[in-house]
Amino acid sequence: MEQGKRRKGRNYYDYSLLFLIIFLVCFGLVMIYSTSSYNAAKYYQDPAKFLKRQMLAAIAGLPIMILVSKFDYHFYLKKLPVIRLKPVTCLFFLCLILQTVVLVVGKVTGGSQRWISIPLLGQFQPSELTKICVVLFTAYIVQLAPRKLDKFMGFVRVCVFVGPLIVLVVVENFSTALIIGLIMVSICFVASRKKGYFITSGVALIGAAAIAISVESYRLERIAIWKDVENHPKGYQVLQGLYAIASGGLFGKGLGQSMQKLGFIPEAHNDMIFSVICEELGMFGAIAVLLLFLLLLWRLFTIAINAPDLFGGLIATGVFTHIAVQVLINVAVVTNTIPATGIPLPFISYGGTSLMVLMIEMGLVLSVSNRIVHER
Amino acid sequence: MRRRGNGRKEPKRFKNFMKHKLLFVFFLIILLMCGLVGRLIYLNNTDGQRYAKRVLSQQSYVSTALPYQRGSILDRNGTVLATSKKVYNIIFDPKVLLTDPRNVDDTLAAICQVFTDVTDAELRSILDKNPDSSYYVLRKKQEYELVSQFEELQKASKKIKGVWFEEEYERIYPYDSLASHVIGYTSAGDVGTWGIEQNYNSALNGTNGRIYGYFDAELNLKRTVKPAVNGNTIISTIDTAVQQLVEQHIDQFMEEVGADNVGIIVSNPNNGQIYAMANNHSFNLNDPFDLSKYYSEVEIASMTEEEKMNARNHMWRNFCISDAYEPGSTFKPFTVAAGLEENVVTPDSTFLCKGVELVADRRIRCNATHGQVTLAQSLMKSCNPAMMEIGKRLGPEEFCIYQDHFNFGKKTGIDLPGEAYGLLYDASKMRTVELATNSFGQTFTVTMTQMVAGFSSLINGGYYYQPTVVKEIIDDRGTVVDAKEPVVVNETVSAKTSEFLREALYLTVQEGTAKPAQVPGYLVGGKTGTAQKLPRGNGKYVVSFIGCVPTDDPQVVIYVVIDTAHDPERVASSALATTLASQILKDILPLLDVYPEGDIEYRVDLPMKEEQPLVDEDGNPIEPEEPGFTDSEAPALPNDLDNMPEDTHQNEEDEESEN
Repeated sequence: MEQGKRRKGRNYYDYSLLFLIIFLVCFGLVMIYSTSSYNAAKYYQDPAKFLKRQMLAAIAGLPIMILVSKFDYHFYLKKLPVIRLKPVTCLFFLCLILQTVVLVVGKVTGGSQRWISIPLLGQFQPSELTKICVVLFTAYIVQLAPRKLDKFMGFVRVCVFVGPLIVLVVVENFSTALIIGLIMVSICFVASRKKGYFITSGVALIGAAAIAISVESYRLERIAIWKDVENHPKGYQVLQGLYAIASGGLFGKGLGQSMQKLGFIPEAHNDMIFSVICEELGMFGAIAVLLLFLLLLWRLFTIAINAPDLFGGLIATGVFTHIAVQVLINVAVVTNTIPATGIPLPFISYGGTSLMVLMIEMGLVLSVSNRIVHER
Repeated sequence: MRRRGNGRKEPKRFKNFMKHKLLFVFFLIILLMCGLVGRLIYLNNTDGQRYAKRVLSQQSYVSTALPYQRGSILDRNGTVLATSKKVYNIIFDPKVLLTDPRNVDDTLAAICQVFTDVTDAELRSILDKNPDSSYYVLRKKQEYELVSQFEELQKASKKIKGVWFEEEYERIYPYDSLASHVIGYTSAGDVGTWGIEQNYNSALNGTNGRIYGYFDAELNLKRTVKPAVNGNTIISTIDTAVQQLVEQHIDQFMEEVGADNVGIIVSNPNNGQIYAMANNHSFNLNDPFDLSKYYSEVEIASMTEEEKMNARNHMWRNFCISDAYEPGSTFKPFTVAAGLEENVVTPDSTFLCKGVELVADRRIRCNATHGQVTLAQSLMKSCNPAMMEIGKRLGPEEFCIYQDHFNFGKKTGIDLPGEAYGLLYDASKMRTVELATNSFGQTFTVTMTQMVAGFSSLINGGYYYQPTVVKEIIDDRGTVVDAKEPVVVNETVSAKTSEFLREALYLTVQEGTAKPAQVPGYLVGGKTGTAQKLPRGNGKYVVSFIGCVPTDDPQVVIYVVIDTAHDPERVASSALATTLASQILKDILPLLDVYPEGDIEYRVDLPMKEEQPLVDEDGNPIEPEEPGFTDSEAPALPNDLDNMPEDTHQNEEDEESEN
């Protein structure tokens, strides 16, 4: 097959998306330093400890993102010469293995087995890689036979393929499983001509989620906290986040002036970072951040609808869903709109694996954008 | 792309319906995001103020008190008499400790290791009984060494939780009972309840400091430390060594003879500063409620609360300023001074003492039949008729003016709490009998401080200094805040009168009634006193001696009062007081920079006349009897109850109860 290198007309590259990503990552670094320096200095005698680590991930992530974006995404669908397997299938099996391995030998942090220690690279969270895998793999399965999705059985077929991954993730990490599930459903929903059966399956999914919740007692407790956060004895973390949000006012206390980060919000640089953004930059800053994400989603949407083929469009759809769902769930948790669950704010929350994975996904979307021809 | 589609029926493209559905998803997301923005605004509007306050209230450092240190009390040479030491209360926090039960063993072990009187069992029972308590005072007043030792352990191990320390100051009196009535004690560490501690309470106390946070215009948190202002230090006029010696002599006297009350004041006549002030019921300032010094355990156990309180009040009572009594003959120099000032007598005047004098319808005896006496001899021999004569010449009006002039019947203004007034006759109610008895120091009451201050003015040239126990007040950096200058309240007598009195008083000690007060090598001048107590004839006497050294330039005044000595033989003997004064003077004078020297040359010869034996109308010699009066003749104390301070009342009660 012919390598699609230079075609007639000028190839498109979404620089505004690239700029948005870099801006968000840099903003994230600033906020991580603001939120973590107090605790880092207190416990590790190095105020920039978390900033340095995140910077390392960002600096490593940027060239990888550019590289992936310059790489033709159709490569993932071609069989590799020796092992006679497609890269996307390889990735799928790799994730299956890693997810299994993590359940057996994973490192327990905060009561959950989610990390694998890799020499030299530090800790690695396989469920993050699984997100890329689900985006690519679902897109691959769907683009193989998009018409099948017009019937409910077609959707079930996709579920059967992707299902094992979700099941492996849900054991230890409900929220990531939720994201993965939503990415899959969203891709199917977009690719399907029907809407009806999504409503039925949505209801079924809610039922399944309810069962999953009631299986683990801590999830029920989180619902109790959510209902009465001010009086529940374990509502401390969420309540401190609410204090931060509500005390920020319109323009906030000013960058670096948060008081809640001084030991009151545990690990303010992680999932609760949005509450400190609200406190320091006020509602103005918070809405500006949400608008930035909306702009990012708009770019992803544009790339999806202009994608040269179905696979590219579905990749963009998957990434689009991923970002949107994470932002929505994170902000909803921080504002106590839904029960607490640990989802980081994309690009901004601290977490090396998460950032790298997001940048690789962005690389994929940029790669799709690179295939768009202007004259269309 | 299109090539990839080769061989398939339809090209796999992102179709229009897909775009529409993605747009639908996009709108859904925008909708949800708007919902979240709404939620943000809602939170800010409904809970913003409330939560903002909670954020501030969570800031524990917003307001932290820094305790001040109460000032010390030093003696005139800088010896510490009272000071405040920082001590620590151990606060145990079972709630914090129990949040992680793995830390319990290590924490308890560390506490027991450092604070050896705390047992593991005790701590466990606290944990059992008060698991929710965050403030359990485990031990009070722990030393800094132990606390720092524990803090080291705490630093080394992360498993020691739920223990913290509260700073506090404890009042320490290094000399226990020394000058207890002058220094006074404190309750709750900073509330002076007696003596200097009470009188100078506000000067001794400082102001608590504070660490607080506030928000500037940009809502930035600023932290400000307002340091504690420590209290001022009081430098008292008390001389520790002198005070110690005086107290030792009192103790010795109490052992050998005993008395209801013994009071001694040593002071500087030239500025009113008091070197020592003591009585026979000192108490331990570090434990002022302890009665064991005066009562056995059995007695204390059998006492009711009220009895205990009375016993304590008696113990705490400062005899030297709170008790008024009849001064007796020690008052005679005042009568003489008044006579000289008013020119009703001169140093050359003579008086006839027949041993007994009929005033109105009462017979008032003298201690002997002195015959013709000069003015100086009247003091030397302590002659009552001479005084009565001077009193008569002065008249009640003038006499009372002089009593007032010498500040009797008024507070001296000494800087100690609990001062009494004493009782005087009003001029309009003073009949000849009262005038006569008043003139030799009976039928009115005075306090020791009044006597010392008045006497000092008689011998120092006429300057009545307000007595004081405080020399200066300095702040905690040593800067003088208040250099207590001597306060001249009054000018009582002329220099000439003063000089005459000094000479006469010197002779009184040298040749007269106060001979036992002599101290080899010193020019001691002074006057004894023996006063019958009411009711007359009950065999109770207040014997006293007031004197000064050296008489030509007095530097030290001593006043010894013995109320009802427990020795029937000597109960009326002023020699008890004079001897005690002599012993004390001998010990303390070198400490006060007054050294022995030779005899003094007097510039004037006082007119002296030979004592003539006294005879009655029939020519028979009259046997000297007990001085004073018989029961029926005794005039009462002024019954001006309005003016009667409670102290006098109390005094009499005490005497009754102890006999």
